[in-house]
Amino acid sequence: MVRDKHTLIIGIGSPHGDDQIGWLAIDELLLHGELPCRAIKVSNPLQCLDHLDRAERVLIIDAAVGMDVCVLSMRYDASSQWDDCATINTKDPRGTHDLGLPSVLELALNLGHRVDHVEIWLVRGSQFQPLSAVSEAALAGTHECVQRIVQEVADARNILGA
Amino acid sequence: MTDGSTRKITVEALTRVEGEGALHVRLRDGGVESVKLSIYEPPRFFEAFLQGRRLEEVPDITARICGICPVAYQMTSVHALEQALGVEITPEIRILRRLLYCGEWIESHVLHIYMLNAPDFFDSHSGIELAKRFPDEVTQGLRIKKVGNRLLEILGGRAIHPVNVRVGGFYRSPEVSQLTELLPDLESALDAAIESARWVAGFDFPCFDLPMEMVALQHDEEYPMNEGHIASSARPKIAVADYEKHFAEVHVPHSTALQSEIGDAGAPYFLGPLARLRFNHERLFPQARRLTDELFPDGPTENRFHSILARSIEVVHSLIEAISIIKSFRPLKRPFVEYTPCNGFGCAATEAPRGMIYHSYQVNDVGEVVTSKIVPPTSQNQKQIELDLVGFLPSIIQQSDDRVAAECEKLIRTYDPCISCSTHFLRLTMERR
Repeated sequence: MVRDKHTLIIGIGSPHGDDQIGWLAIDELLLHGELPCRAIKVSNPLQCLDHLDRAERVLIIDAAVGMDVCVLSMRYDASSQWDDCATINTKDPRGTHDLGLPSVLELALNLGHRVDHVEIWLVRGSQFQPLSAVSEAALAGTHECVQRIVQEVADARNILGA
Repeated sequence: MTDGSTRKITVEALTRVEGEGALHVRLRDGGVESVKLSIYEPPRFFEAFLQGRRLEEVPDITARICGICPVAYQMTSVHALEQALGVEITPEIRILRRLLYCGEWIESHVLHIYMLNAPDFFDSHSGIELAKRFPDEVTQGLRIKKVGNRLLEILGGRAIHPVNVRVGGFYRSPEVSQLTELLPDLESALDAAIESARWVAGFDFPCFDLPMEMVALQHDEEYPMNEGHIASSARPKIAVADYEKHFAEVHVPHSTALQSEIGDAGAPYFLGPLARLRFNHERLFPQARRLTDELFPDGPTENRFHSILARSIEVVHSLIEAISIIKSFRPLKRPFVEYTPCNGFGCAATEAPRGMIYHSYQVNDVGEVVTSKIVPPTSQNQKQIELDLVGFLPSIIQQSDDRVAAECEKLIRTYDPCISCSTHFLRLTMERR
């Protein structure tokens, strides 16, 4: 794989059911040998904080529930506040050690990290039982997500003449 | 809400605490009529789950009680079970357990300091909001927390609900290189933690230091984590083996968590870093002790709002201890001590980040749990919290309901309560005809 500093793809996941989506997407992306980007797996959103300043473009892939499409991508916009956003609602974290992605990005912004270069890629998940297998629908969604990211990253490279 | 001479203040859901609880305050004729810390999170039945399970499963099952302090549950359960089995662990295993506990104290304390408690001193609603005002300090805090999590990952297999702890020791010994690679980060975190403690010392602390009975483990040679006797500011020391003779759990109608009392009079008591510091100040590493003397020139206080400062000092102590252990660490030749199942009873108390935790187990000769008792720190602190609020309210009662509610929440947060931990119990009475 050709690695550059322009694009970083972060997959958030865990071993539990469709929550594996972020990690599986990274595994599939790594099979695309010529993709000019770096790809990493993290196990919670807070770990994204360490990586936000390390690329010109950051794509974060995570599982989501409640979407009416299989794959949804959006640029993070701090001013719109996700909680008020019509596109997607976020759940408040239930625990004190459970900082959700919107909270992490808000924290990043307040800590002076860049967030205007972050794109969120969400894949619809349906079941998250501990250590269960990923569902067929989530696998298909993950594949679709990866194909779209590969196409976009390749297009960006062509536009930039990289 | 005001109704004639009665004023009722309700905090439906306490914020920035682990788990779900509420607070109901009733004031009448300008005085405090009642204060109820209502823990409504459903009971989680862990003591019942354990009955009939293999004793090997206990550390992993009890770790599930809490995502922030799983090590406290693992450590207390293995020590109690080892006592029941007559197992003596090696000094090397004992030291490694302290290192694991250091990791938990660091990550749990730092989370509380920066994300949960510090915002109270600046009227911020969250750690995220605080980060805007103090980005450097919060970034430092996140860096310290990360090194605590890393310690847990190396020793426990993962940061949340570690899986490497077993009765008799560890499943696997860490590699020397895994630990020594962490030294630069630990040393940098230590500098940051000292700076952080000084930053915290500069906060504008409300004064609330009504007399109370402080309780914590005390150890002759070290700052207590895994063992010691029970020290109290109001009575002679108590052997852990006598815990159940002196402490009782009672059920109150407004809480799904049992409350704890000490002594024949059923007195409330206070657990946590302030109590630990009071009884073990002399056991701190010299650098941490000097810092304590600098930040608490008159000695550790009873001001509940100083808990964040005691917590900050314990982070410093834990980092020094972690560095010291790692520098002299040699891989364990045998990461665990073998045992043979037998009938027995064992109990243990250790110090969770938020205070003393007690477990006891009766096991049978095929290695199954017959009975268990788990008393987490938050349920022990509940009664003291309610008493504190009764004492605290007169000083803020003139303020608006919203303000009173917010100030009460701040006082509760000084305890770093972990409500999810406190609702693990099941008390079942069955009548057969």
